Amino acid sequence: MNRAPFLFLGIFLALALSFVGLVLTNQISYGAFLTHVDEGEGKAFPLQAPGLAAQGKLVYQDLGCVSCHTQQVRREGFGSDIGEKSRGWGERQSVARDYLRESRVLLGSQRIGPDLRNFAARKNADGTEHTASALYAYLYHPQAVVKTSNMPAYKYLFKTQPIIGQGSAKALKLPAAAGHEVVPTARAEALVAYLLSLKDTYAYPETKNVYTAPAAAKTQPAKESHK
Amino acid sequence: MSADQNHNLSSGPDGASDESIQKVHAELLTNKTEPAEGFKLMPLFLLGFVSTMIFVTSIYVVHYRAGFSPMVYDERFDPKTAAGSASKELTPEQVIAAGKKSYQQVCATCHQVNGMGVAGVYPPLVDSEWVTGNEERVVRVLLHGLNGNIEVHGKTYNGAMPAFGKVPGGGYNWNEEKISHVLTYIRQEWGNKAEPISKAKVAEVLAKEAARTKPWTAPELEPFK
Amino acid sequence: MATDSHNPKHKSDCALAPSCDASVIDASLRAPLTVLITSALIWLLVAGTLSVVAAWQLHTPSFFNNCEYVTYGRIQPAQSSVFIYGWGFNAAFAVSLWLMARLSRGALPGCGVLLLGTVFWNVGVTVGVGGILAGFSTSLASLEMPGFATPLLWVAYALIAAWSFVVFRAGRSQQLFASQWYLFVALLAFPWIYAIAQIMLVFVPVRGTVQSVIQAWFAGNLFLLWFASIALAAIYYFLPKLLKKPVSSYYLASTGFWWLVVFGSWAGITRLIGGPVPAWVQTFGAAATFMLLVPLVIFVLNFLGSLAGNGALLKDSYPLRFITFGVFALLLVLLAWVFGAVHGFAAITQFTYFTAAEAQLGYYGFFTMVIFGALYAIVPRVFATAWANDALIGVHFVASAIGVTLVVGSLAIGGINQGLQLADASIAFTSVTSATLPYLFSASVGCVLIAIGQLAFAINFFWTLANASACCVSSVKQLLSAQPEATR
Repeated sequence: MNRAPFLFLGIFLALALSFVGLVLTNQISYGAFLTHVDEGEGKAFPLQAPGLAAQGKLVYQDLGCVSCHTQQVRREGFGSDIGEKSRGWGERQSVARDYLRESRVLLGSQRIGPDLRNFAARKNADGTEHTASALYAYLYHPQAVVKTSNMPAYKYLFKTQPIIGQGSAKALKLPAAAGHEVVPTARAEALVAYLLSLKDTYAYPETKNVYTAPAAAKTQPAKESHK
Repeated sequence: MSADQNHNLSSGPDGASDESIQKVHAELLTNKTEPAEGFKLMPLFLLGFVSTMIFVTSIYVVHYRAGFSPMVYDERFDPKTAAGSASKELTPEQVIAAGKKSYQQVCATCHQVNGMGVAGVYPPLVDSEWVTGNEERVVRVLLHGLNGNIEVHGKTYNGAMPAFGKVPGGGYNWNEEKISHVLTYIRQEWGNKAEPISKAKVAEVLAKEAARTKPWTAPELEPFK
Repeated sequence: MATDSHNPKHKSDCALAPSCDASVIDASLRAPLTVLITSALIWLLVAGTLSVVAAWQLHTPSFFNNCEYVTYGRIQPAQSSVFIYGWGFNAAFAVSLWLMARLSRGALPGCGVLLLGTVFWNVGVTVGVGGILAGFSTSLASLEMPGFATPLLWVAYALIAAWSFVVFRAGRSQQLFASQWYLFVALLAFPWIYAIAQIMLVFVPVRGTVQSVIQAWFAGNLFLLWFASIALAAIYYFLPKLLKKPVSSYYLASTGFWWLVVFGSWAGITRLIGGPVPAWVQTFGAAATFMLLVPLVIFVLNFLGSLAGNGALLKDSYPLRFITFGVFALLLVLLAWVFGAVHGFAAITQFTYFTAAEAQLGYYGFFTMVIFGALYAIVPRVFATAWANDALIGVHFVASAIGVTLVVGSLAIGGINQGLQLADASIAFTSVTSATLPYLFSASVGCVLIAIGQLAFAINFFWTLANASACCVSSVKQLLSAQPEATR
């Protein structure tokens, strides 16, 4: 260990090995994945996000939502994301192809808030779909909607303006100052459009590569049909 | 304890000197002398520990390698042994759902969402023996289209059914799977109760009629009644 | 090898080369270390304040929520960047430069470029953190600073780190000691991983979750190959120096080193377990992490073996106290990594506060505490004056030790609790959140304690600096005029 060139060479080789083994191998093996063209649907999956949702993703990034929300659904049996007796956060495990069209992949590492990967495809507790107006109300003052919510309010994504004529259709149902209403700004609209675009419902061929325990194989068809 | 004394560091008021730290340790690195008797077994223990780690870790990697495939996201899944279970077969419900989607997008324009068609032009699909009858015939109609008068429940219809298959002059170029889904859907919806049509059946008919370039007419289809 | 190792002072060597005299080396480092440690401490105070705010926001979401610049989603990445790039790097530069100069027995030939690099670095961090607060965060953990700040950091790094190699080349040392192995791996690894991460994630982003692989690879290596390596270098140097006896079972150190470098550079990927990356990648990451048990055992033999029976010394030596705390934190954090690679354990603790506890243990309990210990030993030597106030050192140690234990303990227990509740789908998500609140509250009390310790340290350092300033100014002048002879 007393020869510096030997030490440097060893360090270089170790780093090169991990770079080639982890970064390059992955980039070559699935960094070049293509979209999955489904002839039946006549579309290429994952679908391109609409323009407003793409802008909303930038708002999501700029406010650091990733600090508290993950965007990855783990497989059945790993945590309680999906499957029987689960939180039902997705319809299937997230796979690499889901993220193919994203210029920045925000998997996240904390579930201080719930996972959002499949947010738009999920239903509220009462079975209704998520709506933009409900999301505006929640973003404006989370604790007014869910008392024990731990999310900070995003009041700065909204503005108060005088009511002109009928008033804005998007105005929040809030007791504002007389003759005024609270309406979402463009950023809030983009963010909500992004949240409502988060849907991983298409089943790629690779999503079926999941392990089934030999004993449970018989009950498999029954489970499928019940879904 | 003699070994320990050999490796004393020369020290000043602020701790051991840098040079003695380096010299003594350089010597320790090559001589591998242990400070006390009781530690003689340490190298042996460590060798065993390292070998065990390598052994266990290798088994772990082999067991959970998941075929080294970028298409597998469940480490317990082995593409080799599980090849059969990973087939792309859709469940009957999924087939109906896929067929319904295509039907409502395209077919419903003429035959209507309720499958009742339009009097005199587009024949109904509900309880029609063209639909629920011989599968040879309905597959041919969908693949290549149908022109001229046809009779359903005693009424005559005179629409033009376009070709949906991958055939010359066809504008839709649906694959066999999609055609089989739509056919299965119309054969089992609105109270129709016919057997599903498989993708293989569609492919078989398509191969048989590979030479055909124009739509069918009702008399031509008589043999397949 | 060296048969004359018993020669106590090696006067003959020193006579030939004035640069090998420890006091000359220390004097040559006075100016750059003043700047590096001062900027590190300023960033540390900023990071401490931000961490108190962020910790408070976690259990009181209405705290500082009326303005987007201080929302948790920006404070948290800003805090992490200030801590890592502001405090961590400046302090690591200071310690690594001093260690390398002392061990290579080479004085710093000049400090103009080095000071320029430090200025660039701090400007880069300021711009980057400002960018995060203004909403330009990349949202990539430990790489949050926006693309317009990072190239400057890279250049600054080159200007600073090069001097460690310069003093190594200029030095007269014959042997390479364990500390130097770790310093070299840190100094060589960082520019590589940072350039790859910046290029492949920010400037020319790769597609899909390969991004996540690169990010996890970077974050793992940043901790193990940069921060842990610098701290290990300090431990390997200061343990024998302060205990006045060689590291026990030292012949194992090289095995530990190579296992850490070879397998550690794959281990970061473990945090993607269960995620949308191919299963074999997760398996390799987990396997590499299991291999970290080998260096873990070797560190136990090396460090705990050396410390065994020397408990009495802890009383007199503050540096030793901090370093010993760091050693235990290192062993625990490696153990936590290994556990985190086990599927059953990861399924519970992943995405919970447990991972935050692990990060806090690694970055604060281990790295920062060891660096504190090293600075307590380095500053009196470099500035040739004792610490201004011993009571403040005591406050610093007690506050930091209790604070870190409180933060890590409550986040770890709260995190496991949170993970178990999350795994049980019959418990509503909001009740899981509410159940974490008491733990979050005690963690923020810990953050306050940590910040108090940091303040004590900063006051003591600037006080000491003021005491030494008269002599410091004169010796810098003297050094600058004596440059040519000192170098060669």
